[in-house]
Amino acid sequence: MKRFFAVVCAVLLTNAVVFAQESDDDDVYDDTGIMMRLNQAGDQYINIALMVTFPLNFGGEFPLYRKGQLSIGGSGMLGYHRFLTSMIAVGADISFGYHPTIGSNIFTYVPLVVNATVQPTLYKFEFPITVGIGMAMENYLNRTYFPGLVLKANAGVFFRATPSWSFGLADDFTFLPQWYDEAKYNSYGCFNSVQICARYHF
Amino acid sequence: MKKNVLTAACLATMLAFVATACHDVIFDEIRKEVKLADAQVSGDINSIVRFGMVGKEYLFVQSGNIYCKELKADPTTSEPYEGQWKKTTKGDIGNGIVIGLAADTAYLYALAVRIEEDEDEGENYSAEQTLYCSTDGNEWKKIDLTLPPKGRNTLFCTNSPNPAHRKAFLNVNKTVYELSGETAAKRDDISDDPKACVWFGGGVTFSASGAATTNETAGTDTEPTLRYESSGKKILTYSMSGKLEPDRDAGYTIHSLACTKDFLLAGTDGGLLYFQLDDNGLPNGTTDSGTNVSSTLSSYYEVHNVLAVDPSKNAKGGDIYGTTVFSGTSSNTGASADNQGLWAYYPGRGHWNRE
Repeated sequence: MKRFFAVVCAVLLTNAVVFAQESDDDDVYDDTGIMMRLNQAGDQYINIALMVTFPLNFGGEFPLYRKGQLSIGGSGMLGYHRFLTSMIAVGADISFGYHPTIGSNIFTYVPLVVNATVQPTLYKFEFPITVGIGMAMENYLNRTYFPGLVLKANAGVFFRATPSWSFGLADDFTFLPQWYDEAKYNSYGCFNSVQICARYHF
Repeated sequence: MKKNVLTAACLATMLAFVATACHDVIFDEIRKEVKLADAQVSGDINSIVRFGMVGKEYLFVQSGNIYCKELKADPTTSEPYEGQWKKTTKGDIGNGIVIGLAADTAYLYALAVRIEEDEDEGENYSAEQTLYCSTDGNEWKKIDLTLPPKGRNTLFCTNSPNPAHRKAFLNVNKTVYELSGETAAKRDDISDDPKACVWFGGGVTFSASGAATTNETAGTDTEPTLRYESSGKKILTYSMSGKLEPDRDAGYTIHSLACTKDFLLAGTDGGLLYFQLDDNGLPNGTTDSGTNVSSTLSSYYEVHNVLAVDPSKNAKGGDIYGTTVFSGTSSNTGASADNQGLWAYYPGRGHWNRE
């Protein structure tokens, strides 16, 4: 949890530096000298990410959480986003995650999240900060929790390698509450993911 | 027009969500899980059998080989005794694979199969089935009874907590033999095709289903007052005066039953289920047992055997043993071959774990 906040703070501080500058550092000039922004309203991108996911509130210790009820897991994500302005985008992500349990079972979840992104840029670096809300299908043995609320926050740094591709790292926080008629079963899961991402811009 | 289509699509989506909404307990069950112990007895187990020797009570199980363990008189005041299974010597059984056990008051019986390989077909097949008896689980004598090598031979017994009520039988293609040491007496009076039996009403009651049990208690001469047997997915309840209503639908095919003071345990093809008993001894719906049973003897597995050592104790107050197998492959069921075998619940430990 502390690591997550540290990453968020670091990204926010970086953004503060960006905003403090007077020049249009996110402007890029092509060969003809025409000024181009990295992103404009109407631009779209597809985001693909692979993640290592840490269960934060099931016991165990970083990094493997072997002694916890859930141990370290993995997930993959696919998303579509569209810029409303040069800095703000909206979109949706769907992902699939899994965690082995201490009793040799598997917990899986498939969150579908709609989200909003603020993305400052510096030279060819992009700093997306995303928050999202959605629903998840959660499975364990023959048990299903659907639809479950899912809240997400994500911050990362990307390098725009080509006009069409950017690559980067991100940190993702996922909150999965489970509520029941019998309150004694109410619980929630907090997961922190480190993502390696590729984005295709078009 | 577009607006109507959009509205219809939204309504259909919402209806689909409502129709498929399912809020099973997940995180709370995960938090009950425990780290699994290394298994001493694993594999396909068909029998958990009580047997008394030299004034002591033992449990015997088979998984190709035969394993035994001494039962402690009062597990609630003793140290937990996980594992502690000892592999017996098979003596004359030799390389035979033991596929079933049964016991009466004086003898333990083992059904063994000799496997040969059909080189043309590339398959193994049962070349011979043989019945053995023993007084100590180590030295075995062959019983002079010809068994069809590929037929269905079912070995079963009353498995009563009271040693005086223990009887053993063998069903050979619907012909039932009562076993008594090295002799097997044909019982022409049993017309059904029994696969299980219990001591009830002062004698042996047979059941065509594979699952039957009573509320007979350990170490006393008290006769059982309730009998439970399965019929497909249903649990039928009988008192001394006749059948009680209603039947209880378990939702899964039932393979085994065990009775405790407050719960009836059903081993099904959807795991081990706990049914709370009402004041009349009738099983109510499935109940949260408060244990980690749903993550161990879970829906991934078929529970072919369950045995409560002392039915006079509550489900959380006495030792309980169960076995798991799965059908299909582990990759498409989520089940693990490592979890196939013998499990136990001990009150001193408070959870299910591998034996």
